[in-house]
Amino acid sequence: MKAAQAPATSVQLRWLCACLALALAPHLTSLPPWLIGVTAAFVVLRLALAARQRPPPPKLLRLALAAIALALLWLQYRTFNGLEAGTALLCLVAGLKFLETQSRRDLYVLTFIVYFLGLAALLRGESFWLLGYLVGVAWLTSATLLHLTPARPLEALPSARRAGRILAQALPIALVLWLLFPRFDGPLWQLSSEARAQSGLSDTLSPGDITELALSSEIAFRVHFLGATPPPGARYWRGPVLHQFDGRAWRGIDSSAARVSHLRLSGAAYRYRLSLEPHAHRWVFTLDWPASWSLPKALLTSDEVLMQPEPILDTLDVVASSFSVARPARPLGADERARDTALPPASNPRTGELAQRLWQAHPRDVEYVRAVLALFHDQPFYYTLTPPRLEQNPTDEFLFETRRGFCGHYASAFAQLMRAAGLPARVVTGYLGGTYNRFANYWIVRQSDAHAWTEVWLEGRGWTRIDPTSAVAPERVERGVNDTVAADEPLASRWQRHTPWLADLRLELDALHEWWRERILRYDSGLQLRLLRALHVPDPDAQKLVILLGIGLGLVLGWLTWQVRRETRPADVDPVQRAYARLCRKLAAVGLERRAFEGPLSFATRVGAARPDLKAVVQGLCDLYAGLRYGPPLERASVVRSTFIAAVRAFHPPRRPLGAGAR
Amino acid sequence: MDKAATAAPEHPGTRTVRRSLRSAATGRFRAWAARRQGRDALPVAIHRRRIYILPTRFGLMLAGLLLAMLLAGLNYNSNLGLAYAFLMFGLTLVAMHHCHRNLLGLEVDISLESDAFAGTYAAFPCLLGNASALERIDIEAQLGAEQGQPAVTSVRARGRERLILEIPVQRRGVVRIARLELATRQPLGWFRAWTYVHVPLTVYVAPSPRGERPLPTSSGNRGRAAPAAEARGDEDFAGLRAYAPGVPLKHMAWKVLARGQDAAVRSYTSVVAEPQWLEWSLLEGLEVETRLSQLCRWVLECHRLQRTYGLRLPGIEIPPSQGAAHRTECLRALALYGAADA
Repeated sequence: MKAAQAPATSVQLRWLCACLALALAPHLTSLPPWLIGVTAAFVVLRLALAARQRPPPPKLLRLALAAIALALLWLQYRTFNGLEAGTALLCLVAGLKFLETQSRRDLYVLTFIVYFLGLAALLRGESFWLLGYLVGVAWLTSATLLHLTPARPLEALPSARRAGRILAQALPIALVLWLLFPRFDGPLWQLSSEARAQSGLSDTLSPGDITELALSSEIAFRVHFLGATPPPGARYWRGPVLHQFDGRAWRGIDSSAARVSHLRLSGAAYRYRLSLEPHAHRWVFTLDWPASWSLPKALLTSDEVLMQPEPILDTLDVVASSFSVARPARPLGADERARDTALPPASNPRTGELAQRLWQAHPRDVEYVRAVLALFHDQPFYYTLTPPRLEQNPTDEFLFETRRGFCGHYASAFAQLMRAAGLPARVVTGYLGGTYNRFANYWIVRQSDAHAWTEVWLEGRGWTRIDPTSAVAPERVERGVNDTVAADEPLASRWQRHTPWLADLRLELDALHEWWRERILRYDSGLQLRLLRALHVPDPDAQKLVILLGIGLGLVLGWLTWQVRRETRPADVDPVQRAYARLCRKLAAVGLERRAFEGPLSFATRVGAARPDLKAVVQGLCDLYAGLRYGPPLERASVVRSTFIAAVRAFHPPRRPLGAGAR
Repeated sequence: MDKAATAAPEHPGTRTVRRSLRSAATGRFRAWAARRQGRDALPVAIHRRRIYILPTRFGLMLAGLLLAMLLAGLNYNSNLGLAYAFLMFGLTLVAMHHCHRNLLGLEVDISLESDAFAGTYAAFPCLLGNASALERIDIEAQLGAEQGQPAVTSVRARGRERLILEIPVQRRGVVRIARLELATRQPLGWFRAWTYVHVPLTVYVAPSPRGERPLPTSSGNRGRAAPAAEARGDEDFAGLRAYAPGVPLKHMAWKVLARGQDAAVRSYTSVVAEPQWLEWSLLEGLEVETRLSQLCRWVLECHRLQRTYGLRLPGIEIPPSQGAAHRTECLRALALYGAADA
């Protein structure tokens, strides 16, 4: 273990510092800034000491620093468990270890931390580029490790090349393992929910509190229509339905009670396959109005929302069908009517007055709805993603003062105006629109496609979808949110939109991205079985998978062993010598073995005596070889050399002299 | 862990126990390997069946790390995490193969005998040959079990490297070394591959040259002092005579040989001077080892002064001569004195 206690040199420390910095880079956004500062300070301090040939700071100081930093970390997270706190701890340990690094042993420990930081980043991130980047970091770390063993320092370039070779040979092993290592459907043990916080819809809507609606391009779900595709105005994806209003925010009610559908469905029917990203809630988005679905445990609520019994934590695939028109099978119950016309007293008084005024002018429900929509359309209302903040009576302020808002503002105000006139109304949240990817024939619905609209109970028609946003910004409904907000968005994305080839490129990239997500990130036991079927394995199951893994590993390791042994074979320097050896092998195969003491000329003489039919060729070749190898330098030697090699290759001595068989 | 042990001296016991357990295990393993492999004939090509490989301490740490990576990847259902963990696993396997490969096919040659003085180091020149197109980096070579001084070298592609392997020798006599051990930790330090070459290496350990007594003035049997002036008359060239084995190489007449004539030796006046006898009986009353040490010093001194000298030990007489071969013969006689096979 003497080698392990050899002191770490300044160069080694600098290499390792580079590896550590690169491995920490993907974590920078998730780590607290003070921790990054502390780690960097430790590293810089140690490097500065090493540059002056000084040892690390005394042990007592290091212990004190460690205790303080750990206490701070505890205060920050209250746990050292879980991905985020664990990564932070790892970062701190790396800094402390770097500070105390003295021997090669410490450097080895540091490289292990660097390797593990790479893994921690991949548990969180999902992009192809991140994987590539971290493999690059692992490469650099391995090149650093190559510096740790030699007695004489390696050059940077050759060691990078050697590490690259090792990594390249490791790839087939990794591929076989990745493809065939059995996957489990759930986690081995339950994780803290912190790791799985999801963005997306919730079951509250409080438009007055939002001053900037972030357009997250994160994907909510993808849809592949089996058959006809509904027109843009019908692509409302139904999510949580909100009933309760407290003057500021809309909330859903616990409507888990299932029942037989009281709707009579008609109109155009659409079938689609939807793959839903995990959102940690129970609802499944469906097109208005859902009729059938392929989830045996899912139930339809009284609000026509499809619910899973458990929160959705993994990608969910469902084939469903929906009808575009629904008629009620029964009238609205009294308690339901009471619930959906309730408004908190003494909030938003001017909204109430406006509703009374309009109702007196238009006392029939359909006309009243039209009048309110006309109000939104004719008055200077604007659609914006950066509305002003609303204070005491948000709806009053919105309707009479600011008049700027997004779908949530309009849906909320509209539903209140309906309720104030005694019409049952509710707010529905979900998604509208989506981006079509013509390279792979599916629709991408992103978080930025989130939408809110209202449903009003009209006598004889039942719950009727009315989207007040369409009165203000009809293009939001027709074309999607990206075309609506032209005035607000930065220049770059507008430029992208007006450059068709770039949009195409984006879609193609997205198709690639989807492929990455579908086939790589979501690779699971199901896809493994599909792979087995593609390999014509009969009745694929988990056991056969493991057998195949064993076979695959055996093959890859055999290949590796062959590669490795091949390189240790004696290498002939000279192609001429190699060709001569080949000639001798060919002659040995017909029973004319060259003896160890025989030079080319005496060998040729003996061959000529034994096999007169070969005499001319063998003597010529051996003369040529002797001349090339022992003679004076030839003119045009390269031509002679290649002639000799080609002649040896073409030489095929027959087993018996020609004509001998006839006798 | 080692660090903690050095910092806290209250646990020296565990360390020694661990070390002795470890050395017992390696001792048994070496004996088994020696039985399995049998004796080697030089030069030895390192075949794969004689290369042993085990993870180092860092390799064991890495195994823990790989397990942690696998569990993390499985638990978070992260396919990218798993891909990374499997890549690290592949890296480990490849590193193991490369470590093994670093020794594979090396050719080892070593001189079988060496001379040394007690309390110094015996040196064995060793030649590592590499016929492949692959550089062999960081080959550690060590003589014996643990006693030898490890030497580290790299062997270029299609090259050979000369090493001097040293082993300390304490006492006069014959030291037999059962094995030469070659090891490597390349490429990443996670594995250590090693191999044994079992050849009978012998060190003739002459007594350490000591003793204050001057060279005996009487030439033993003659009882006449050799005049100092005559002894120093070495440089007087006296002519050529025919070559006989054992003559100092620096007296060879190379030019004569180069002309294609028979080998000849330049002779000097002092070559014909009376021989000096170094006798056991001259040192009556001293301890055996002290006597031998004194004789050893005299041999060296005579050799330095290029005298013709002979050595008489009880039962042994080495006739007077000169040169390195003669000196070696005398020193070996001193080394072997009293030994069973002498």
